[in-house]
Amino acid sequence: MDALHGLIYGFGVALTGSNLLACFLGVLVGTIVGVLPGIGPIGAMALLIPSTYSLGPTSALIMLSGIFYGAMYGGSTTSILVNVPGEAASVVTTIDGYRLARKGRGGAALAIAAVGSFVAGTVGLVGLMLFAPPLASLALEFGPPEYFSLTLLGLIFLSRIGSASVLKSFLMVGFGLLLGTVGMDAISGVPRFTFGNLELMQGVELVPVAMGLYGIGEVLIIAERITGIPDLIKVKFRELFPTRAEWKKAFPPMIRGTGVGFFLGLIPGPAAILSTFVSYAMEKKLSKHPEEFGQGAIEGVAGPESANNSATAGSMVPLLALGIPFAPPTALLLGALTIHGVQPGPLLMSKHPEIFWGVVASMYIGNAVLLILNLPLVGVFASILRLPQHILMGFILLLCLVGTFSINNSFLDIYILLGMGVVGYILRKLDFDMAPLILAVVLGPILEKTLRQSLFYARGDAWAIFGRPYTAFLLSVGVVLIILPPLIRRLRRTRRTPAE
Amino acid sequence: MGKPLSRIFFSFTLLGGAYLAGSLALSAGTIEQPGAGFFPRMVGIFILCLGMAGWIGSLRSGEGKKSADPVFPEGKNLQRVIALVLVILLFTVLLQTLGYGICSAFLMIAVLRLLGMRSWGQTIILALLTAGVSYFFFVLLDIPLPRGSLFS
Repeated sequence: MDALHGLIYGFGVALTGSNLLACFLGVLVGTIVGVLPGIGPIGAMALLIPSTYSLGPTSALIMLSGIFYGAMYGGSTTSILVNVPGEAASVVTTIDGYRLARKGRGGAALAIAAVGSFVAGTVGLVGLMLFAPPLASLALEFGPPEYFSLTLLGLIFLSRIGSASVLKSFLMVGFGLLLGTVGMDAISGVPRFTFGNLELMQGVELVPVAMGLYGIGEVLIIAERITGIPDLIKVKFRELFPTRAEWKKAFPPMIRGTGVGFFLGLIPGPAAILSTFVSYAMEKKLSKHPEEFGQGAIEGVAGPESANNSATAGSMVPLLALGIPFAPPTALLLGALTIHGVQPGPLLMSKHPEIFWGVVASMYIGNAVLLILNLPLVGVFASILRLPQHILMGFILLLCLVGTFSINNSFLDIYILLGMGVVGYILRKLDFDMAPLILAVVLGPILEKTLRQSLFYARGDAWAIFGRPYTAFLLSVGVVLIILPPLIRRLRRTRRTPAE
Repeated sequence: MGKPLSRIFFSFTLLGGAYLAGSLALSAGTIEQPGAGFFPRMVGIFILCLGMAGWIGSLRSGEGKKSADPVFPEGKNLQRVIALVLVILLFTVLLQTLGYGICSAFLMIAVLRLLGMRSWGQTIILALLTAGVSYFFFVLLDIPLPRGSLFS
């Protein structure tokens, strides 16, 4: 199926009543959690996975991905109006967005952010449609050694570019891999680290881990300090129109942000967050007036807000084409697919075209809905922040507890949730990055299975693994990633010492 | 950040060691046909080495310096965080017998009080309201709720 026919077919799927409703609900929830600090897209997606049980896999994925990209729109609202980023991918937007709001150009900043998100979201989708099918057909030639090296590379990459130190990130990877081995061994059927507990035989679920680390951990961090309700800057509807000069300034950053975001989305890592920082730095460097950045430069809103949206589209590529998630939100999407009994991988597109094309088409619809939701109704969403924080935190707690329970009707999962909440609280306070941990929980079992299959297939002959071109390439990239940065640092240091 | 960080690295070293010991009880198989213990052994060694490297590193660098800002809250603020954890734990224990309806209302009362609500009257009304709204919301979304062994 070529892209055009696929898309037409996808719209046929996405425009049915239940899928439209799923899409609308997804982007609505996404916008709300994007606005609210304390619960981001990951927590919300984990929370709503159970409620998708009664839906089909297509509707489930449409709704959950709606939360993912919807949150990118909502996040800008509070960054601009209250200087509080609703989620991590909107931190950069506070720098210039809030300054613009203080200058009375908050409406324009919101409009530019929403339009930039829309442009990037839709252009990113075109990229998704063009990239994913050829990647999937390439991946059909992949055997266990290729998948093993790809997964390994993903984990190395993520640990290398995260915010925390490499040692801490690798330790998180190790911890995630450890959690992933709990339960019955998929190949030999032997129980591992279950301590005789029957419920643990199924393994540690992703949802309590993700919700504990992000949801409960966040509630505990917020509980440290009692804060009041933040001041909102009011925006009138007619202030939403940017001036011609503002449009002119904002357009090139939007396009550049779109490109940067999409390509960062393709590679492993917290792309949505990272892309905003890269785009901001790039715009500042390219600008003729870099001194305006930090004082309310519209480019500083347009670039990053576009970048995080096309990054979401980009990060869907490895998930839908290879069945390997490279970022925590897509890891949750993978979890949802498996719960619904769909085997993710390169065959997804040919075996379940309704899922791939349906989701792609729904993302076009969702982006249009989001533009409408986020422009005229921006005041409504921003006023959610007036909800006192203790009520909000209580509600988030209830959501986490019930969401976790509903996966397996298991009380053990709630204890895991609470345990991971405390662990997440402590680790986050000490600047550990949670993304490698979440991803390792999901990728761990894939890594182990493909490693054992590869070794079985090689029969002791290392060349049978390392002699394969893709494997050799992927593994050498991994080795370079580990060796190169410390080497460069050492070289710089030795060069600096004689000069001193 | 010296002290708590080196403690965390030390805990990971212990965790890695215990996990490695546990994985030794599982069969490692051969290199042609790896068993259930093969991968866990690698992971165990990985965690053990990283934990130790981090621990030694933090002992060398961080411990002597005084930290300007304590990482973890102290006094009342710390008590609040611990109390919240205990409340959630209690909620989970009681949930099995009392069910969602009663427990969620009590959880909300505790959370609202802990996070700074003064008036008891307001707290109870708000807690009942939130618990009720959440109940309705979950039922609407078809999410299964624990009913409690006392009532079923």
